[in-house]
Amino acid sequence: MNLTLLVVDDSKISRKVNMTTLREVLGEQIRCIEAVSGEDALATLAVQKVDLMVLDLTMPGMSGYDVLTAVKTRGIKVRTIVISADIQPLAKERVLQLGAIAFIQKPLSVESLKSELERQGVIHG
Amino acid sequence: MAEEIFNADEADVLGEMVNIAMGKAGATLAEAFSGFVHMRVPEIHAVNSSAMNETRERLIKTYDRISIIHQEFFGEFSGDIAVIYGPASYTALREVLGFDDRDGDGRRQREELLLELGNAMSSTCITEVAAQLGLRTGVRPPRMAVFDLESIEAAQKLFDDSTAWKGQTLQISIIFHLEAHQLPFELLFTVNSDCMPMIKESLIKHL
Repeated sequence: MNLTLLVVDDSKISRKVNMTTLREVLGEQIRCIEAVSGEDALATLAVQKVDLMVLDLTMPGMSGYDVLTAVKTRGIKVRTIVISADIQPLAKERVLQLGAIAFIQKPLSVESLKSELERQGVIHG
Repeated sequence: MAEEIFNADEADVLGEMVNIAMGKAGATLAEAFSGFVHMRVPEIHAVNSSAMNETRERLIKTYDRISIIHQEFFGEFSGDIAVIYGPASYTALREVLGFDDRDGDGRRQREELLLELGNAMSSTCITEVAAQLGLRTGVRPPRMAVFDLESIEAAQKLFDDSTAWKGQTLQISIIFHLEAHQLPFELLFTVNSDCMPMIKESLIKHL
């Protein structure tokens, strides 16, 4: 699957886990771009077409909520899956209202990612 | 900084573990208040006079008066945890839970509420970090270390009189902000130095 993915997380280990899991589910052909902050993600989205953004919520500087708001305001077209440790029900509700297509609880697992990508029609089971 | 104890990758793994624990504790708080909780990136420092002074100054600047719940945790992952409440916390709790304690022994009721919520948040946080590290731990019952004292005096009790910072190496600070009430809640925990070899070993396994 030739997809360009943007993996946004301030934690190196989380980016690594997310990219490994994404490759396991989507295959080795995907291209992963890393962003270490919300600001970094928006800079990438300004110059690069991204098929799917995998976004953390709790980051220094711009939070995941700020990134989703900016993406919406700027009219950037990118499907976004939020992967976060913030498991309060209102967090999920808010990110979906801000335009994310899905919310997955950290730590990311192959099963949770696969089932969400199938539900969104990105892959077919 | 935590880099005095861990290398950057180890500190990153620990930060993510604390982040996941914070998410669970934050959900406990959100449920108690039926509201939304903002969470900041947790801060992890080596225990030294500079980090302690920074925390002390922040507490004094943020709150006029504070109450502090203290709990020890023991086992392979051991240390001390404090839940810090500002004066508005109790008022918000009273509003949310909808009771009136103006008659009778209000202080006792207030202490019980703060103890109960503090215990729920700190137990969730400690057991989750320990589970991710694969270390055994237990949490002792909470006690009211400071009740509604001026923050200068409370910080003095927390840092100068307490034995909780002696023999400790790691200080982890988590701040929650309850949106509807503009309230900060803080969890501050320190880890005993004799746990460090096992913590390091566990972190390395996750790299």
